[in-house]
Amino acid sequence: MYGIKISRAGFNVKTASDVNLVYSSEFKTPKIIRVAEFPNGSTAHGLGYTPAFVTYANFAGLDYNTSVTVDDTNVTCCGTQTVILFSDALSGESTSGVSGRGVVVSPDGNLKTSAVSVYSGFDTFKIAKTGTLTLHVSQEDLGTDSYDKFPESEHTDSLVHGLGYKPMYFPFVRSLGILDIAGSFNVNDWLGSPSYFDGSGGNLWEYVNISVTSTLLTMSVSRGNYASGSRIFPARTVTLYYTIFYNKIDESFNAIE
Amino acid sequence: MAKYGIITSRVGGAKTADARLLTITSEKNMLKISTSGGGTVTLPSGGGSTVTKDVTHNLGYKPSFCAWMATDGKWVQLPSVYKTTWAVRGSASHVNDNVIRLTFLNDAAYPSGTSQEVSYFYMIFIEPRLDGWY
Repeated sequence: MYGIKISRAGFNVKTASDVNLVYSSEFKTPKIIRVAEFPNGSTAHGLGYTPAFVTYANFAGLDYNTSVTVDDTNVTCCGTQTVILFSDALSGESTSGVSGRGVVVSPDGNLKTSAVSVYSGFDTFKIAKTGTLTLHVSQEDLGTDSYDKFPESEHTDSLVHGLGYKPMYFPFVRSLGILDIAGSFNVNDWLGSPSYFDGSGGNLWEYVNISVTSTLLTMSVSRGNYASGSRIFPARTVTLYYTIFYNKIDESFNAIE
Repeated sequence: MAKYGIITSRVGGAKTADARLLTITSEKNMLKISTSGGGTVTLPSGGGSTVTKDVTHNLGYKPSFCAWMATDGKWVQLPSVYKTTWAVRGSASHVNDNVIRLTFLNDAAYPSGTSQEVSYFYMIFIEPRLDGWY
């Protein structure tokens, strides 16, 4: 057996369970190869394969995720979006390898950009804080509205994260449609409701938004009824298990320049 | 700082760099992939049809994870819930402590749509969704 294994402080590296390891060459890490604000439209990423990616959309709403698409040539955005590209591939494989000085681990000896386990030239996600945000939302009859208020009701819970900048967070989610989810739920259990988002032609909606600033991580539940007749929204407890990373969302980084 | 370990930075000296600038560090818990993989599923034609794909990870707890899907080579991050020009929606959920389910839906707004070939990819992390250490 060869490799690197590092345990968290206070744990014997030889006996620690996987969850108590800082790093192990047995596991890949998602490796950040580029963080950038991409303009509206298509921009060539130059990798030659389709990289995994994450976006923290610059706007809330149920179509935020499809505001960024990636293929083997381009990153395509609806509006200006911050996109984090991984060296890890969704499809295809890199034709170039890592180069230069640094630390690289590849269990099978493949040094292609998309294949290495970890490389010191690429960034990693480093956990700064974990915890829970909880929202208790009461039952509401919002009645019929005349579009004079958007949203009609909003409930929030926030965490002061203390990093002083906009950090990346997990789950990688911005907005979730929750109208079709009955009662209380955990955001981490439901990364999206696949059913039609409002059932009423866009006039009825309820969703969770997660946002981050340089001081706060905020979860909100917003509701609106712009259909005819009243609508009683249920009482809910919405829970979010968050992981905040040291990585900064709005700091450009390009490992392949 | 501990006396032993690995530390590399992408800017400046590793010994003094801010944590956000470190690329490898034994001082912080780094996100680690337990399982990753992908494949394709075929969505039957007609609006409202769904296909699920269960991924067994056998970690014995609910881990953090992320997933993506593609039609025609265009990949989006899940959840991909709504877009007027996007005919397939995707979501993901924990079935239990050992299984994650990806669900794909042929959008009801495209009732006459043809069957859809959907590619998917997932990363399941060692780190639990709740109270990972830091």
